[in-house]
Amino acid sequence: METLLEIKDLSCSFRTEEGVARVVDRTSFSVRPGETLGLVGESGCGKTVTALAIMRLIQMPPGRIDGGEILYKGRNLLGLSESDMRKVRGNEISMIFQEPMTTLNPVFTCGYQIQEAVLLHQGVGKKESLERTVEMLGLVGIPDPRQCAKSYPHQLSGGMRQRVMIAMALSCHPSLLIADEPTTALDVTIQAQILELLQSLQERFNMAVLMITHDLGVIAETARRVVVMYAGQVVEEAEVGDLFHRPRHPYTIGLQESIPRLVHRGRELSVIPGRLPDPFHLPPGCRFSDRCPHAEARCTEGDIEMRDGAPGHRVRCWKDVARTEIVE
Amino acid sequence: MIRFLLRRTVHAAILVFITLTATFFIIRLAPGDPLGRYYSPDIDPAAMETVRRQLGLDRPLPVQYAKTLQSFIRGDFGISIHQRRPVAQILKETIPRTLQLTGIALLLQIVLGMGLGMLSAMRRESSLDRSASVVFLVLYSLPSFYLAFLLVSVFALKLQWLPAAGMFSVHTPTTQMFADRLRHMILPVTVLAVGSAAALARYARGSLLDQLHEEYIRTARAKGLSEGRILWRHALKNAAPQLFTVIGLSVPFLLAGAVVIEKIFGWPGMGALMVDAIFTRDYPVVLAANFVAAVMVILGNLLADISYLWVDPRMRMSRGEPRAG
Amino acid sequence: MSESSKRKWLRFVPGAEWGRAGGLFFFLYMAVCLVRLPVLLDLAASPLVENRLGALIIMIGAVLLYVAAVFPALLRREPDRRRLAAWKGRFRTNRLAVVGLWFFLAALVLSLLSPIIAPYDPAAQHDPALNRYQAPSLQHPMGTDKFGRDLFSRVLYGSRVSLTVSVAAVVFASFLGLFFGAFSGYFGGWVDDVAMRVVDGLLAFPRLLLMLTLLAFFAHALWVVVALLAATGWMGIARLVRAEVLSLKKRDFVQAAHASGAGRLRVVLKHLLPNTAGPVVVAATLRVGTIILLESYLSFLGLGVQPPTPSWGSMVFEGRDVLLSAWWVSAFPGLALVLAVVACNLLGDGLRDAMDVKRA
Repeated sequence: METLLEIKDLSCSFRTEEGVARVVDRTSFSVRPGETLGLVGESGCGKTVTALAIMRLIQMPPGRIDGGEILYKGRNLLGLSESDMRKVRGNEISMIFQEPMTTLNPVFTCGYQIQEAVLLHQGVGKKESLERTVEMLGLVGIPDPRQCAKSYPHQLSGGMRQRVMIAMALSCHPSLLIADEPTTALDVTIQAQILELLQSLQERFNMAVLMITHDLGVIAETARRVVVMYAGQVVEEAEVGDLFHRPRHPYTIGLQESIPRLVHRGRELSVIPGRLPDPFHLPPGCRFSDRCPHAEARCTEGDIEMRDGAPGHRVRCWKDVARTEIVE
Repeated sequence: MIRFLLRRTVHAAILVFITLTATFFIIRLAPGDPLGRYYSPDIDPAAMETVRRQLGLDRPLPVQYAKTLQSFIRGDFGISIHQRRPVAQILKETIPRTLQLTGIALLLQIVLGMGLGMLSAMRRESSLDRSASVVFLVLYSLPSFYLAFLLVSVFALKLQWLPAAGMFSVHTPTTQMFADRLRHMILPVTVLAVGSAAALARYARGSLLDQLHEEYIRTARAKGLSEGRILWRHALKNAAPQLFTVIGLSVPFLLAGAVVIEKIFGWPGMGALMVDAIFTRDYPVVLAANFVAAVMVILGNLLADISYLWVDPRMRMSRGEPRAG
Repeated sequence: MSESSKRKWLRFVPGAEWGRAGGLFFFLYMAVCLVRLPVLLDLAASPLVENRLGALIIMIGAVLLYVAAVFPALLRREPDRRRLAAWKGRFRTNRLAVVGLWFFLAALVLSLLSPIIAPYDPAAQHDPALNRYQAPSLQHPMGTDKFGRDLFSRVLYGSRVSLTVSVAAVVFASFLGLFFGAFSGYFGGWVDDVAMRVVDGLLAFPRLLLMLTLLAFFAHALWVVVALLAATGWMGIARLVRAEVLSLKKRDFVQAAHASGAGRLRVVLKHLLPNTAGPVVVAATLRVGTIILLESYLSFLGLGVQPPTPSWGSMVFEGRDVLLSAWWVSAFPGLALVLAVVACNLLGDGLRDAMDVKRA
């Protein structure tokens, strides 16, 4: 199948006073047109940096893209000039963020902020762009779109603000939407609404979504395929059903077991011991080795490469620790 | 919003009143006598007493204070002991001259300061920005009288391009009056504006760069906006309240600068008047000049506060408590 | 055991473990004192109070420099030490700030030592008819003025007025600010309201005009200048401290300590100093620059320290009639002024960045 976005061996690092931290290390994955790819990991694992790298929005300095390619419809985004890249941002690839409180500019009306993108990319007049804005606000389920266009962000609730963000991101009908923890800051009931909205709009615009989250529940609800990241590396990539039923990487297994489930009531919640390795002093070999219940001497000897654990299921672990079945 | 305006105005009025009261008591409680300079052995003590009575200086201090307040409200600032004419009349002549200098300097400060500050922020961390930062720092650290001496030495004395002092040259044909006035203003206005423009540029650069760390800037970038537009629209409008405050606070600096610069350039404005009045112990003039200066400063702050309303929608709609910072 | 005790001893040697700049200036200072010991002793034995005061200041200066150079060794608590080390690490990466620090230290040392290193008596008029307005030469590195006085010596002595007045004023202002800010923030309520209105009111005064008025109508002795500069300069620091106290009062551990019966005042005080140290030091350093400028304006207008005591502002003023023919009369004192203020501002900026203090 053709791919919309292909990331090949992407590496990013940050330079700080304490040294250089490689926060994304030779990451590869791809997104197909119209699909939802989940990108999962703890905070600090490099998933947001990966997303910002795709948009080329990493602050440089202190950040740096050390190597790799980001192919969007065959073009390497890392090779584009800044002005060409601006034509991609907001137009072909859009992004929404976690905190709808601070991601909208407080001193401009919501309408103005959406209109700005339309005017920039769509080559339409003021009047038409306003119409487009109101139409988009309607599409994201805002009851009085005309009124909303005139309001300032502080006058709206968190859920409404995130809808405005989505309207802004989709106003130019991008082919790819990067959603970085779009529901984390919202109430649970609102979360579900926003996810549902994203799914319906995705179908309507035939748009691919890169869903970045630490919440496996969100992934289960939205994604078809999942990429799991740990300490800057992809550790597992699989179809969503496969990943949930037959996870192969010890980290993914640990991640799943630490989710509270009603069916397992009475059983003790398991916790992954330890924490993410210090990005300045990454352990040699497998980065999960110091927390892994299955670790052996060999795990820390050399880099572990990704391998096919099963058809369409890649994993960065040389052992076959796959639990054949997670009991339902 | 109206409540906010009202409250600020009342605050400003109270501040003006406090300033006037404090100045009155400071200068009257200080050792010395308003007429002290004019005593001499060959003056008839009786005549001196008459003058004292005419000026109302024979009454007890609280009564004099009440009288002064009354007449200030009527716009009567008393009579200058030194110049022997109404202070109001003197102020009417000198204030416009000072406003000419400070007004143009303020304008220059805003244009240059904001412009250079934004330019530095645009080119942040470039060699241009780095050297500009050092230049701003030096200009901002330069005492204005030293800068004045430097410029006068070079442009007035050595090159003789510009006049070294005064407001106009005598014997100028009427057709060239305006140009002549302008030529006389160049040096004092430059000296006055340079320091505060450099300070504003430093501040503008800093507060714009602070804004660039905000998340909505990332949103704006993700929309594909150009860096220039992000700075000019998104960052600037958010930084505006702080910048207004700084510009409002530059009024006292400009006034203080005017005192020194009018003295150096022989510009007969309020600053020079004030220094002369202080040295001749001209109490009514000192009091009135301090009062006018305080009113200008407080007005500057008030305008800055009010301008928040214009840029920040949250202020316009809420109870009107200004944001911190 | 012996290793650690040796290390402990080393801590108290300036520059051995910490702050090469501080150590270097300390030893330089001591060396100059030693070389000029006869002059110093003469001063100390002089019948003139001024001279004895100068000698006393030199000795106090040595103690202060020593304390500053080994200050980190006096910090007992590990978090304090670590914080200081982080500040230092960041400060050192800013080359301009380091230059500012060196200039500032140099100016401070020179001003303290001026009575024993100045080649001439700054007030002595050596045959004015012969020596007036001499251009800079080996004998008079900065030339001479109208009265034939050596400008280099005068600039050195002038630094005493400018720097001592400013540093003293800032130290007093900082204490006033700490006191009022802590008071206002701690009691809160109407006390806070009133205190903050007072601060607003004082900020509304045009400071230079106020100082001019006060100085003209009262005396302009040195201590009056210092007192007035301090009295009109504490408001910004009070605000900083107040904000810190308010945020401290809200924090959980303070509330918890209060609930468990420990005095809240004690807790606030204990955490106040470490937390406000950064912002207050930054604000104070930047203020030293401002106050040097302010003092120079006062002297320039003739309302500061009175002649014959030299002060940079009045020295620049003295050159007003000879800007072209004897440019050095104004140029050197002015240059000294600019360098001192630039050094303070560079240092303050550097400290602000290193301590990560918000722009005030």
